[in-house]
Amino acid sequence: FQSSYVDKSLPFTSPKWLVNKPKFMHLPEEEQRGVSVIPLKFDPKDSKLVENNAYLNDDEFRKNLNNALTLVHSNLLTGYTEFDVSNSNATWLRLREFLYQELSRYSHKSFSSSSTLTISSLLKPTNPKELVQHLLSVDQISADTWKSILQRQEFSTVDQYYFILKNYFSFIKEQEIIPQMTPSWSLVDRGLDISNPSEWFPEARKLKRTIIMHVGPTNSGKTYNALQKLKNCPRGYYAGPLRLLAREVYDRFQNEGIRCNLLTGEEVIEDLDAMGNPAGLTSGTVEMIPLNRDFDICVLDEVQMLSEKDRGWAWTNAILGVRAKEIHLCGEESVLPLMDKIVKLTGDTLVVNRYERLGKLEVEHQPLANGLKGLKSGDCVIAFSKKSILDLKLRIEKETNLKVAVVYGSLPPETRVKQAKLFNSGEYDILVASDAIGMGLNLSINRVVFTASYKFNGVEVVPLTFSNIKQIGGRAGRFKGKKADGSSKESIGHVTAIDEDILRDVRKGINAPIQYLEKAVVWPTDELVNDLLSYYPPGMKLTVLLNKFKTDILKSSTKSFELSYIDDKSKVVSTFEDMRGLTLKDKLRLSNAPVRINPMVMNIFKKFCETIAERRTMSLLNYPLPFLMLHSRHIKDENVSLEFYEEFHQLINLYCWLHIRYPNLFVDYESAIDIKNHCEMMIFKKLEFLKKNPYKKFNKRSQSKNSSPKNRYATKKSYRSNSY
Amino acid sequence: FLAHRRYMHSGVPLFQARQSDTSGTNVTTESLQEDEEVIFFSQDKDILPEVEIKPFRRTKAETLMRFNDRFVQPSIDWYRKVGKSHGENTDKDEFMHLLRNDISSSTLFEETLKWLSKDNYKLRNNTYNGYDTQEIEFYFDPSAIVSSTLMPGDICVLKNSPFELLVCVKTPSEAMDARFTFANTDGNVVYAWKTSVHLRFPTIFNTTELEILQREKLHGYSPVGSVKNDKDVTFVIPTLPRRMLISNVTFRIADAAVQQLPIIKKKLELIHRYLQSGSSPWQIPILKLVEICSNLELSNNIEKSIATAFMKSGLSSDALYSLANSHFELSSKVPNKVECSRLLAVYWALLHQQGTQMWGEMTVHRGIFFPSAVTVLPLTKQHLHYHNIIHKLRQHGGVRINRIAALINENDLASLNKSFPYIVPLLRDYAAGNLEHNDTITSLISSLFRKLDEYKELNISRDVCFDLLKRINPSEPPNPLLINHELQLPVNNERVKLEQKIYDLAVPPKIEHSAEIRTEYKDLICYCIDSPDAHEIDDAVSIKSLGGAKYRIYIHVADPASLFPEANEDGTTINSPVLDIAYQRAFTTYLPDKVFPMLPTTYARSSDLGQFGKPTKAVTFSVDCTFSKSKGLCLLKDSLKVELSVLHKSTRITYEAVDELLDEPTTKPKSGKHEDLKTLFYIAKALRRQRIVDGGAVVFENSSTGIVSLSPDDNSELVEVSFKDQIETKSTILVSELMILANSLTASYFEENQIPGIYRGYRPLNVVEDATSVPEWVKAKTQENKIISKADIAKMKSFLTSSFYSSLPTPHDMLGTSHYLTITSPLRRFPDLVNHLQLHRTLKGLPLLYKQSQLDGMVWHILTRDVTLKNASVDAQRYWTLRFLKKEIEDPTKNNWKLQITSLTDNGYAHCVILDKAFAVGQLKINLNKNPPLVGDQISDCEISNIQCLDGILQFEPTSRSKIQKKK
Repeated sequence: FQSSYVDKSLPFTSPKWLVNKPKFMHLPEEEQRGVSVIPLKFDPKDSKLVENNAYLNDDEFRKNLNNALTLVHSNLLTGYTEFDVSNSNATWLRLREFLYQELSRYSHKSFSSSSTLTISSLLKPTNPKELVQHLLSVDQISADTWKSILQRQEFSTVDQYYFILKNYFSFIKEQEIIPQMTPSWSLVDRGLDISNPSEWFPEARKLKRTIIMHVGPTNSGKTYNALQKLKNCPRGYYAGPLRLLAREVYDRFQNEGIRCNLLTGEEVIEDLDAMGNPAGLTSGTVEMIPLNRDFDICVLDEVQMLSEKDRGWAWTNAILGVRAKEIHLCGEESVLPLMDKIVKLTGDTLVVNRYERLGKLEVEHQPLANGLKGLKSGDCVIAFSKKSILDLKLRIEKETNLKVAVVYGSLPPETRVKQAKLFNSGEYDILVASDAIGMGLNLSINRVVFTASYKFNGVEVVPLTFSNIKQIGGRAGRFKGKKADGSSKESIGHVTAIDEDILRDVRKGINAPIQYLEKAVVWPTDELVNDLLSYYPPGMKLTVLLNKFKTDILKSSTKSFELSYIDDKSKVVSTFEDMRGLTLKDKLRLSNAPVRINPMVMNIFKKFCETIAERRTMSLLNYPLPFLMLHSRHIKDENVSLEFYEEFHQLINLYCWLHIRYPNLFVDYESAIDIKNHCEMMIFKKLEFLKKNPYKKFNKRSQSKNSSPKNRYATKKSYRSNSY
Repeated sequence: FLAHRRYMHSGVPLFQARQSDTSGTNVTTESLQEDEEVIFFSQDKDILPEVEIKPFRRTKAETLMRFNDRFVQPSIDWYRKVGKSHGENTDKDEFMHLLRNDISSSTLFEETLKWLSKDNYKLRNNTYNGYDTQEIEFYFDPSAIVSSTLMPGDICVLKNSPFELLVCVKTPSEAMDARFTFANTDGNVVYAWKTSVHLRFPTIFNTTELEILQREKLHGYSPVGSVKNDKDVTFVIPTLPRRMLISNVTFRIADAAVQQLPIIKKKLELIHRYLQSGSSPWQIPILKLVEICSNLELSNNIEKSIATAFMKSGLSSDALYSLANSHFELSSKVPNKVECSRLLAVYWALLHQQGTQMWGEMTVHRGIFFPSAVTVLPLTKQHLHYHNIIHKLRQHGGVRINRIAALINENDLASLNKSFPYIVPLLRDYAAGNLEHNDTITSLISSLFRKLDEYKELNISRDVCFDLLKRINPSEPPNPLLINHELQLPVNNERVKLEQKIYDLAVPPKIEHSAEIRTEYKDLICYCIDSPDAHEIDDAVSIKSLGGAKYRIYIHVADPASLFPEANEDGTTINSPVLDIAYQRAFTTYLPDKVFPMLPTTYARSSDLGQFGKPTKAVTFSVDCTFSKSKGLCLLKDSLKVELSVLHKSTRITYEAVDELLDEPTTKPKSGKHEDLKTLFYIAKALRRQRIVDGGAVVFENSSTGIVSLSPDDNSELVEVSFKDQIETKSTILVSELMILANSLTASYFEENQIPGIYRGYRPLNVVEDATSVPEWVKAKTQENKIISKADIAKMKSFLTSSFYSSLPTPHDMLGTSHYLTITSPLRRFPDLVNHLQLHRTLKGLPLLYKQSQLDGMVWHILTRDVTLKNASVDAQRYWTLRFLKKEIEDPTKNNWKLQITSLTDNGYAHCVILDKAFAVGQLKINLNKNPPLVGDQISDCEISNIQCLDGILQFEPTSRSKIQKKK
């Protein structure tokens, strides 16, 4: 971009780049510093100066001018702030400089006719070079015009001079001095300030919002009440933490004949009427909640997730920005103090409804006696992946003659309800379930059995937090229905584990006091990033800006907010950052893509980004994916590992994620589903084969991860799968 | 994602893919060894339903079939249909290589070049971080903006997604839905009303028949297109035109804009400091701002680079910062070629900097779909002042806001004003809408109101702010809209205050009569027909019988131009300050609360007509015609005479008096006056007939109702609201038809004598398919001279656009005249005064005052003021109407209204208006489960549920008693 200024980055680094201090060269030396001198001093020796100088030759004019200058000096050199005063002083010097310049050139006789004094140039002066001529031609305007201008019946020449000087003074100050002396306020280090992110959502701030908190342990019916209010409001949104919870609410509303749309990261179903208008109610994930439309009621579930390092920003932005008169937040007690702080900032009203546990919760003293055989009817065994759930089902059925039902995420909804009924009715004795499931399902469990105190969170294996343990354990002791007299039967929930170590962790978790959350995680809106990016020189990299956010944060004191993880975001962004063809909006959207940092996924992800950059229309089969591996002969083939198929599966999920955001670029969802089914079969068959004849040589990687004895029970190989 | 995109997903049974021959029998999993057998698999039989695992070969085949039917075929159909018109031989192999989805966008770009209009792009070769690309720059010609309506192929920016470029792919095509169709770079289809188009680049492509939007064929698979108004009718953007035309072009323009945005922001900040004009807001044409940006080279010597930039942009002011006097030059010359991405970068930069009170509103003219100007806000009073206020209010965690809230709650207003003097001006600016784009201030004001006992339960709105302001400062004037920045009334604009003082002292110069040759009309009676309280009498009409059926019609217009020396000299510069100030105001401002005249009252009084017996100067347009009841009217156009004149006998007569005369049953005219007016009326009716029949004019018989008029209450504050209706009567037809005659005849006079002037045009929306039935139906209705019902007007309104000023002869379809040059109200419209000055120079054989290039620039300023003042008048009338309604519904029994639906349902609401109250426009909440009402239906007994007078928000809810009356 051709700009010839010497220091290209000057406008972007110093606020003084557009300051251009006047130099007052025409002022005599000693006047340039102080503003105290009033009379004008001309150098008597310089003959040209003296010869036609009205100031020197005409005493009357000199006396009046000096008096007028004294008035200006005493009245106008004022200011509230030191900056005002310095501007007034600079204007005073500039005014005198014009006087010196013009006086040395003009005398009564020789001023040109074009700049005669008219009412317009008197009231609205536009060119300080005509100052002296106007002073010398005051009587060109009739006396009664002067009277109405000065609003005085009698006036002296000094008053006229003062009026002219005053107008020129304010003209010079407003049009030259202030514009040239004031530094730029759009400073480059304004940076990201998250001390009060509620300012990012002005439309929401205007609304008088009521935030109703439904606080209590799992299965205490808190979400149920919020959903009842949502059902009969014309425009509402249910925001769940997971795609599957959103799907569950969508299915429930549809079954009750209530029109509802589904809006999640991987799936969009619009419930259109004959005219093509979508339904007023929507169930979706929290990342997809639209903040630029008005709603009557919004329900945000599992609101304690707002302090989760990588996804918490979606909840915080939703709470701060949703434009609904009534907002229901369902979550744990631990979020209350933080919500108090947030509500003070936004000024909304906060109503707290507490829900108590139905019945007591007891942690048993002993773990299960001799492993799975210790299970009894009404037990619910918790596992953390679909594979481990199905594997446990087979082993329990083999080792005991108990009947086992299963409930996990990617089960189709009808099957989930059927399985729950089988278990509740007692037809099946044991339920094997994943931790996140149970919301909205009545599961009458009297004992919860933990099989591990570790969990794979999609990236790595992490210990269960106290709140996880409380949430899972809390599922036990669900009331078994009404007693004859209508009061709910007193039911005590039991919690145990399969071994001593796990039980110790579980007991610590259940009995731990509530850990109150301190900070909500935030992330700037796209508009804000767009605005901040445009304060840097062209070609500024997005990753550099994102990393700069960290330094910005240190500056702004943030008691109740912190910034979401940047490292994974910038790692993902760096893969496509320099791709010509991607807009900032694309880059910000892609920075949230569910991408695991491993070679095969990253390589294909780059190709997906190229498709967007080139705006091509592609189907999954146009990409160089190892489709030929989808053949039954590879099940027994040892050098094709299970992880290979899992990465393949992640890529298919990524394709579906992109399909929702770019429906005309990533097309043919049907083929993605076919390939996904095929891949899932290969994974299952591969697993079955591996169980019958485990690897000859031990798989190094999985061994190191699970060497800790504590996890004795976990199956020999830690198959990390996240597709529950 | 929700808006108008439909996609049935795995939850719903898919159409059965076409049965391919290889679907094998239901084979159990044991026989895995056979190659490629179709197997059904379930991880746990009794839990999961079995899923068909297709062998990859079959998935591939099916995918190919689906892909071809859904995505390849539409592109082929498109190219065959449109490629032909582009001189491409569309036989099979020629363009098929374009369809391969691995073709890169740059190779596709060679093909794109064939579709671009030659003189609107320039190719430049340069290296772009390492690899050589052919950089392309797109241009548009500002005159194309004024001379065209929104067409397919125009590249647009919509109001609610300002940072995205969309291409218009289809103009309104359905009678019930006046929305345009746009497509973005990803191929998503967006439907939007004409009022949401805030910027457009016309004629980038060399044709408007792009036919990019196609109806999706029933290919047997689940549809991928987007729904508009019918669940089963979907539309698609074929891949080839999307990639080749939309993605390739919009990305290059947007990307170039993004690259230069940071530098443009710095330049605009610098330029803003040298556009200061008497520390008051004023409106600069955006095209001039873009030109200054292009000419500005940032360098260490700020003063020099600014001086050269302004000089190159046509500003010769010697004192760099005295721009106040070069208003005229600044807004009178406009470049003829503007680079699209440069304008887009300036547009985006302005959007960002609006948030820092550097720039005010961007005025968008609805008739030309383009931002004509942006308001330059004063550096000290707005930018620096509010930077300071925000800093103070945010400091130390907002302790000052708490202090202010405490003082207000204790009602200790004296110390509030003493220690926080900036609160009253802040509330005043917010109520006036001058802080509309400042998010930070909105949040700070909201947090203040949340701490005020009286207001903390309310939604924050400009009404609430004004309510508090009235409490703190009871003497606050009743209508805060008057201090709006764009309106520029003296009440809060220093420069305009000084200019008004200049006006008060201005005395029209005495110019002797002898210098000009003027026709003396000693005995011709000139009738000045106007309402009794008319401020300025602009026009008068006369008629002289030439025997038999022959008459000569005279239209006399006031001659304020004669008061300006510029009318008699041969120079081309504007010297008289009154003319420069009149140019800035451009129109007399008519608001219910205030009339702010364009010219000084002394000038208006000494040049308006209507004093009997006092010789007054006028400009007279006269033409012969033959008229008889039987043979009708025949105008003898070449008998047109345009002359300067002196009227001796002009008499004032009110519309009512004329109507009384015209309604008298007696056929024998009582007096000369009666005779003249009767004949003039018949001629006027015949003129209207001709305009309708020959010119296809559209005339609304029914008048606009619910015009607001204010009267003082007991403490003489203008707050009592009453509604008047502008009824069309015989006298109004007489006057309006003769004025239209004068304006259209003068238009042809200006063209014949090649005199540059300011015209007024109206260009109908480009509607296609069955949407064309609406304008045709209206024309037919007016031909048969039938009254158009209110319901039909409601239906039609969304298909109408607004008229605009142009410096080139442009047709005015609504009036049915080929060209229309406004000449009949020089006292209150500057374009008319311009045309008068040009006439003076022509009639006196002097060189013209304004050149064509000057008028091309000036028209942008005139367009801006026309829109600004019309919007201000509408806003003020809506404000007073809503204040009236708010007072009415204080008595709940009165809270039921009859509404007329004026738009389709969108997001649960439909636009509506209260019958016979034109400015009571609002939204009716629609129960989504019942079928929504259509445009034109009427609903009775609706209740006002939410009313905000200043924000113009009026929301209704149907009650149990509400009944829908379907209109034909």
